Amino acid sequence: MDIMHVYAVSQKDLKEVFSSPGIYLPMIAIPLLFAIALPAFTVYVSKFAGPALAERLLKTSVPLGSSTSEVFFMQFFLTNVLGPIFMTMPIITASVIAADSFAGEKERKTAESLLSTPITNKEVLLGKILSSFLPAVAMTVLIFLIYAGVANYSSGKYFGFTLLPNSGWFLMLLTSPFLALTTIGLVVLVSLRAKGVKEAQQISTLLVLPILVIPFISTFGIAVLSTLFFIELLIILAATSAVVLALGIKLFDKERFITA
Amino acid sequence: MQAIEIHKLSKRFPEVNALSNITFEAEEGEFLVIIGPNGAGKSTLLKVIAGLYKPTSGTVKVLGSEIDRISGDLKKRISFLGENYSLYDNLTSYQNMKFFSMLYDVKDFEAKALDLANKFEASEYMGRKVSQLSRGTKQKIALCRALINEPKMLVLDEPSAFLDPRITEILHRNLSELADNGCTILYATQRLEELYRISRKVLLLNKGKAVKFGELKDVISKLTQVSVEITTINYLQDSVLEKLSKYNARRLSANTISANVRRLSEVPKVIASISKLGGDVINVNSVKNNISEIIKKVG
Repeated sequence: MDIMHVYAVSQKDLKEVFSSPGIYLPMIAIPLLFAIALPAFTVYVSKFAGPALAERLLKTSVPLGSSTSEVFFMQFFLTNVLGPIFMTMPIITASVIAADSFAGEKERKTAESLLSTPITNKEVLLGKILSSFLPAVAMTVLIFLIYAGVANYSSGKYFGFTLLPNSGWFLMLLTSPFLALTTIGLVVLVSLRAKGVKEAQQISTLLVLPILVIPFISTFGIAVLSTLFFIELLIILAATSAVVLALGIKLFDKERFITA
Repeated sequence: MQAIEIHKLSKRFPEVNALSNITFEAEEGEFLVIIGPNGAGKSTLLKVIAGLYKPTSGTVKVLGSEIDRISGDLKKRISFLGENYSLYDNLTSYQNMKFFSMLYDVKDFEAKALDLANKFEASEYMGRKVSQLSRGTKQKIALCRALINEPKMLVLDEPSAFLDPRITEILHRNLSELADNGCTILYATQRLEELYRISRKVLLLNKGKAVKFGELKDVISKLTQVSVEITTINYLQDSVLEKLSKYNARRLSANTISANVRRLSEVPKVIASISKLGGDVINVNSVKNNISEIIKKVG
C-alpha cells in the first residue's frame, strides 16, 4: 500500500470540503453554537433554578451539603445532560463528509479518472475514510476545548474547582474517534452503492440513527456512563469499525461502483 | 512489441451486449483511432483497456501484461481520459494536476505541469477553480492532466469534443509527437475528419462489433469514393452524364450533377470534361461520407 496515495486522496477531499462554504459552514457553525451557547445558557438558567425546579427537572433531590440547588443544577446539566449531545459531534460531522465520499465522485463524474490511476481500491477507501475521520475528530476536540472553556469560565465563580475536563468527558473524548470510525465505515458503504450524494445522505441518516442513540443511553436509563460502560463501548465500536472497513474493502468493485 | 493485444473480447452488461468478440492489436507507438457511431461500444472498450470494466470473456493485454494482473508500475504509464473532463470543480487546475501527479508518482511535477500548460495555452488558468472555466478550457486542463505522467499508453475518449479547431490542431500535433516517441494512443472519436487527419490505424466499431481493423489506407480504400456535387451556370446536357458514366454521374437538377470520384484529385478531370462539353462550372461541393455510410460500405 502506498501511503502517499492515501494522503493524496484525503488531502484532495479535504481541500474540496473546505473550498465549499455550503458544506463546511453548517458543519462548523452548529457545533460552535453548541460549544458556546449551551454552556453559557445553562449557567444563566441555573440561577433561577430553585430546589423545586431542580427536583422536578432532574427527578432527584438536591443533595444536602454545601451545594446550593443552582450549583447542583448547573453541574448536572454541564457535565451529564450536555455530554450525550457532545458525543453526537463526531457522528454528525463524519456522516456529512463520508456520504459525499464515493457518491460525490460518481455524481461529479470524476470516479472514472480517479479509479483509472494506479491507486488501489484499498488506498482510495482509506483515503476517503481519513478525509472524513480527521475533520470529525479535530472538530470534536476543538468543540470540547471551546465548550470546556466556556463552561469553566461562566460557571467558575460558583465552583471551587475546574468543572471540565472530568473523567466522564475524558472517556467521551476517547470514545469519539471510534464513534466517528464506525459511522464513517457504515456511511462509506452506503456512499459506494448510492447513485448520488442525496441518496447517500438519506440512507446514511437512517443507518446512523442507532449510533446516535448510543450517547443517550444514560439519559434513557439503559446504562450508566461508567468507566466499564465506556470500555465495553470502545471494544464494540472498534470491532464494528474493523468489520465494516473489511466489508468495504471486500465489496468495493470498480465496475459495479461506476455503473451502479 | 505489442502494446495492446485484445483477443475475442466480449463485455456484457445485464441488459446489453456492449462488446462482442473484439480482436485487435496495436504496436508500441501506434496511433489507433477507434471510430463508430453512438452506442458502438467505443467507451466500453476504452474502459476495459483502462481497467475500469472487467471483460466478460476474452483476453486483454496492455503493455505486455494481462489487464487484471497489471502492476502498479505499469499502471503509472497508462493514462485514461473519459468523455467527461473528469476534473474536480472545487479545486484549481493546478491542484487537479498536482493530485493526479501524486497518484502517478510524477517526479519534477512543476516543470512538467508548466510545460503542458504552455503547450495547450492553459497556463493563465492554472490558478483558477475548474468550476470557473469554460468547457473547452476544462478539456485543455484535462488533457494536461492526462499527459502529466508521460504515458506509454494513452486512452482518450473523444478528447476533442469541446475544443476549438486551433486547440484541436495543437492536440493532434502533440499526440503525434507522443506517438513518434513510442506512446501508444487509442483515440475514440465520432468525427471523420479526425480519422483522415490523425489516424495511422483504425478500428471501426458498430453495435459492439469490430467492423474493420487495419491500416487507415486499407480500411478507407472503399471510402475514397468521394461524392461531389457540381453545379454549372447553364443547363447540363445528357451527353455530360454519358461522358461521366464511369463516375456514376447522376442528375440532381437541371444544372447540378453528382459524381463519385476515387480521390479528390480526380475532381479537376471531371470539371474539365464538363467544360469541354459546354458546362460552365460555378460550384463544386464534396460530400464526405458519414460513419453510417462507411459502415455500410466497409462492413
